Parts: sequence; C-alpha cells; structure tokens
Amino acid sequence: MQIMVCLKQILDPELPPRDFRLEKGEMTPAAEGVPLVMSSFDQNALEVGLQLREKMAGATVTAVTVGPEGAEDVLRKALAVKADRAVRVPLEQDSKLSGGIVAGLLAGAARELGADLVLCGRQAGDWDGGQVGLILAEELGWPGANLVTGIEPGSGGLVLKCELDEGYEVLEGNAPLVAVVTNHETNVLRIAKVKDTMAAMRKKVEQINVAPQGGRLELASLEIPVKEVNCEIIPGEDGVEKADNLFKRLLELKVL
Amino acid sequence: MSLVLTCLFDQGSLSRDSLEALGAGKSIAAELGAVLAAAVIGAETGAIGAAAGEYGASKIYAVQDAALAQYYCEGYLAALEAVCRECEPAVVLFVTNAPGREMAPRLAKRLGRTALVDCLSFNADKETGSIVFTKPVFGGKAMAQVAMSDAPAVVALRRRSFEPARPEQAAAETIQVKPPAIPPNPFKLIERVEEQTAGVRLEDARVVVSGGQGLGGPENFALLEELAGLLGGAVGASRVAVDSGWVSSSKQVGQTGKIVAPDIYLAVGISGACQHLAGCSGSKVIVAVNTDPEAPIFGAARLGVVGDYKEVLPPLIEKVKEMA
Ligand SMILES: Cc1cc2nc3c(=O)[nH]c(=O)nc-3n(C[C@H](O)[C@H](O)[C@H](O)COP(=O)(O)OP(=O)(O)OC[C@H]3O[C@@H](n4cnc5c(N)ncnc54)[C@H](O)[C@@H]3O)c2cc1C
Ligand SMILES: Nc1ncnc2c1ncn2[C@@H]1O[C@H](COP(=O)(O)O)[C@@H](O)[C@H]1O
Repeated sequence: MQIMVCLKQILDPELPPRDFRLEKGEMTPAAEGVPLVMSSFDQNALEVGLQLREKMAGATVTAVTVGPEGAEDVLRKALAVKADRAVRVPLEQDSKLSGGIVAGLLAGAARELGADLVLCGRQAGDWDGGQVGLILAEELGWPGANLVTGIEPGSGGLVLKCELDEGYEVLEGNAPLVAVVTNHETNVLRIAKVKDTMAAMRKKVEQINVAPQGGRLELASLEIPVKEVNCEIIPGEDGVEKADNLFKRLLELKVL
Repeated sequence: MSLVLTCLFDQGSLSRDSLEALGAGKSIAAELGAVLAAAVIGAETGAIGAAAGEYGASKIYAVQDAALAQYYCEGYLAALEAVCRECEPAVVLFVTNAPGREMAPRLAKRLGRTALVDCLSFNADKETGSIVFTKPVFGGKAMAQVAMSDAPAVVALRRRSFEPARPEQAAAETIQVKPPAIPPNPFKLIERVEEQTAGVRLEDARVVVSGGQGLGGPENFALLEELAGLLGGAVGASRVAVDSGWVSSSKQVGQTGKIVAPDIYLAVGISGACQHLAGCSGSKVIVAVNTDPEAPIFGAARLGVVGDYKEVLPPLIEKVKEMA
C-alpha cells in the first residue's frame, strides 16, 4: 500500500489575536516573526498513515507538500517521525483561497507516486478552506471518506472509523481512496526522537512538477474584526467569595 | 428568473440546520430577486418536499429512489448534480454539518467551481447578481470577503449563523428529477454508533459548562458534569481536552466542533483560542474561570473569574444547590 499524506505549512495558528496583523496594503497576514508549523489536522493525518503502515507489511508513507522551498520544513518533520519519502510540488504563486489549484497539484503527485491511499487534514489552519481533500477525491475519481479518525487493514479492504455529528461509524472500503482526517485522542502525532530529527535533516526531498490548473476564489477584502467585550472581573478574596459574587451577577443578568 | 437552491438531506421532517439553510436562502433570494428552491433526496421525498414548501421554497426538486433511502455521499452527489444540471441555480446552499461539509466542495468541483465553506453572512448586488460572502479565516482572527461572481456560487453556511425560516402559506411546484445513474455506495457500513446523551443535547443546552487543558485530567470533568447537571445544561470541551482523551470528541466546541449559543457559557481552564471561541461566541453571557489574568478568554468573556477552578467551582455548585 502506497500511502500519501498531504501536509501544509502554515503560520502558527496558536498566535494570539493581539499579535495577528495584516501585511500593509495587502490581503494577507504579516508573516514576519510568526513561526511556521505543520497544519494541525495534517499531523493527525500523518499519524493515521504511520499507524496503518505499522499494521501492513510493505506499506510506505510518502509526505507531500505543495508550496515554496521553505515549505520543506514540514516534510523534514514528517521524515523525523519516519515517513519513508518526502515530496514537494513547487507552487511559487500566492496560494490563498486556491484549494482547487492545490488539489489539482496533489492529484498529479498522487498519480505520479502511484498512491493508493491519500490522507488529508479536514481543514488547513490558515485560510480554513476545508475542501482540498474532498476536491482531490473528485479529481482522482476515487471514493472519499470524511472526518476519518483511524484506519485499519481489514479482511476485505480498509476499515475506516469516521466521526458523525453525534457518534461515529465504521466503514469498509477498497483502495484507492481519499480519507479526510479529523482530530481524535488516537491520532495525536507522535513525537520525533532527537536522533531521527537530526537524520531527517540529511534526507532527500524529492520534487514532482505538476502544471497548475483551475481557478481560485476571488478575495474582495480581508479584515481583522473589532471585538468589543468588556470583561467584568468578579471580585473576591477567595474562591468562596468569587463564587458568591459570580452567582449574584448571573442572577442579576437574568441568565440563571 | 434566477434560482437559489438549498440542499436538504433530512428524511421525514426538517432539521434546524435545514431551516437555517431555507432562512438564509430566502433572504439571499429576496436580495437577488431570485426564486427559492429546495432539493430533496430520499426514497420517499413527499413529506420533506411539502415541509420545504411550507417554509418558503417555491420550487421543489425531488430525487426519489429506493437506493437513496439513507444519506451516502456518492449517491446524493449524483442526485444533486442532476438537480443542478436541470435547474442551473445561481446559488447553491449547504450547511456545514457532516453531509454539507463533504458535499459542497465535491458538488462545486463537478460544476466547475470552488466552494466556500463556513460562511457567516452575505451581501448581494442585485444589479450584477454577484454576491460577496464573509467567511472567517485564520481561525477567526480575520474575516475574508469573497466575491462569488460566477454561477453557481456554492456555499456552505456556518451553523447557528442564520435565522431559521418561518412557516408561511405558499404553493410550491414539485419537479421530479431522474439522475442518469445512481452510483452504489463505495463504502460498506460495518457499524454505526449513535452517541446517546443522557441529558440535554450540547447544541440545545441553555447552559454549557466547558473544560479545557487547565482541568488537568479526565477525573476533574466530574465537577463540570455536576454543575451542568444541576443547571439542566450540558458539558463541552476544548480540542486539547478531546485530544487528551478526557472527553469524547462529540463534546468539542469550536470552529471544528459544535457551535453552541447558550444563555451561559462557562469556560473552565480554557485559554480562549479563537478557534474555540468560534464555537461559542453567540452565547449570551460567556463566563471565564482561569488562573491566568492574561488569558485571551478574558477578552471574549462578559464575566471573568481569575482563579483556580478547584477553588471556585465547588462553592458555586453549593450556591446552585441552595437555589434549587
Ligand atoms: C484549524 C484548527 C481548528 C481548531 N478547532 C478547534 C475547535 O474546534 N475547538 C477548540 O477548542 N480548539 C480548536 N483548535 C485548537 C485551538 O487553537 C487551541 O489549541 C485549543 O482551543 C486550546 O485548548 P485549551 O484552551 O483547553 O488549552 P490551553 O490553551 O492550554 O489553555 C489552558 C488554560 O487553562 C488555564 N488553567 C490552567 N490551570 C488552571 C486552573 N487550575 N484553573 C483555571 N484555569 C487553569 C491556563 O491558564 C490556560 O489559559 C483548532 C486549531 C486549529 C489550528
Ligand atoms: N499546500 C498544500 N500542500 C499539501 N497539502 C495541502 C495543501 N493545502 C491543503 N492541503 C491538504 O488539504 C487539507 C485541507 O486543506 P484546505 O482545504 O486548504 O483547508 C489540509 O489539511 C492538507 O492535508
């Protein structure tokens, strides 16, 4: 089984709102000084891929990213947790709201690699597109499973666990397929060993070139919303007093 | 006359999500001077079609087939694609529930478009017929306005962001649509586990008590359960609490969890990341309990308690007990 995991490099989503700024005169956030990280659901997707590989003899995990050279950092992180191969599909142009283009490039890479299982995160933590994996299923003409939390080899194919709005379901499907992964306690990405992180620095990152195609959405404006909430700090010397005062205020506000 | 198509996947009766789609569709259609239509899919679509008519859709596109008795992406996609080819809508609306999330991008791709997921509001231009949708990006730290000028604009609306439609008396015309083929489900269902919540559903609760990383472990959720129980509310959680395995993922509140809008949202040991706040910002009163006075949650909460929840919650529970 050739498992391909799609990893996107993004501005650290944990950056607090007070430090979030826009590039002057441009519809894009200021990147200076903001750490770049692997998008969080992609970490979950990677873990799902690594766990599946452990259960399937001969399976390999290939980490793929679309982006500029600097995006190779996320591939090194994947190599550090023992992904077998790392591939970058170059895309120099600005990639905001271009889920359709990116999906096309990833589809090209999937074909070239002969992948039979493609794993994506449910939503990238920068532009919050929430669709590349699903478009990819259409591009490849493969079945797509959504909100997957884990995959096991089964007697007749792959067994996928998927979240529902309330509860979950277990599905069986045959490769090739696309699985869009969401977070779960069972797929938090493992931590790389220091020696593997060092070794990953020396590993090769391959490159696959695919011609970009398709349109993008048209961004008309980007703004930082103004929030005007004045938090009233509940007074009190200790927990009991604070609880009393909080209770009183909730009654006064007529919400209790 | 152009058409705004709302895609409804319910069987039998309309869910709150569908009512929101119809409500939003109604106002978009009014702005554009368009007709509101609904796509209904299933083995038996009569009842749901009638309900959609009662709630404002004046055209019902029904795809009725025994194979479509239960939702599955491939089959419902084929049905919707056939409806769109038949009626050539200007706007196609979904809600970002589990089916809407996966259908919108895939249908858009089939129609040669890119979908916009998780929209909060819109602005229509009657002259040009183009619509600008607003969607949070960077976890809500910024708002993007996206111009959808090519038809159809395929959009998934964030839950609890649009007023649900109200019943009205109007006659709806029903058009039966036959897809050229309905593909079988590529997946075999092995097991479906519907989570049974003992008390009130998280999304319907008037009081939500949520816990985060600051709780330090699963056992401490018992305090939250107790308080929520006393107030007839429900327990929620941050993503970190879910990822740590302290609570089930159906309890996650936020951008990629449940969207709640209770009277009281009590955030305990939650830092207030914008991705979390996206799920509770519609609450009447947000109350934060956090040891760190600098935590961003205090920038979103109406009432704040700076302190250890272990010292604040037990006396609060006592107070509530006294009241009862
Ligand atoms: C694309 C994307 C989507 C996401 N979707 C979601 C989502 O849907 N929902 C969600 O919740 N998150 C989501 N996140 C994650 C989010 O960014 C944060 O990482 C997460 O919400 C933080 O959880 P937390 O507040 O529990 O933990 P932390 O940020 O670690 O905060 C813990 C808080 O507890 C306080 N604390 C510690 N001890 C105590 C004590 N004894 N008493 C009181 N307070 C104490 C600390 O001061 C701190 O403020 C998403 C992230 C991304 C990138
Ligand atoms: N530039 C990219 N490179 C690799 N994978 C990507 C890229 N953009 C998106 N993806 C994948 O698609 C998922 C959904 O992205 P999005 O639709 O942009 O929210 C992500 O979680 C990744 O798995």
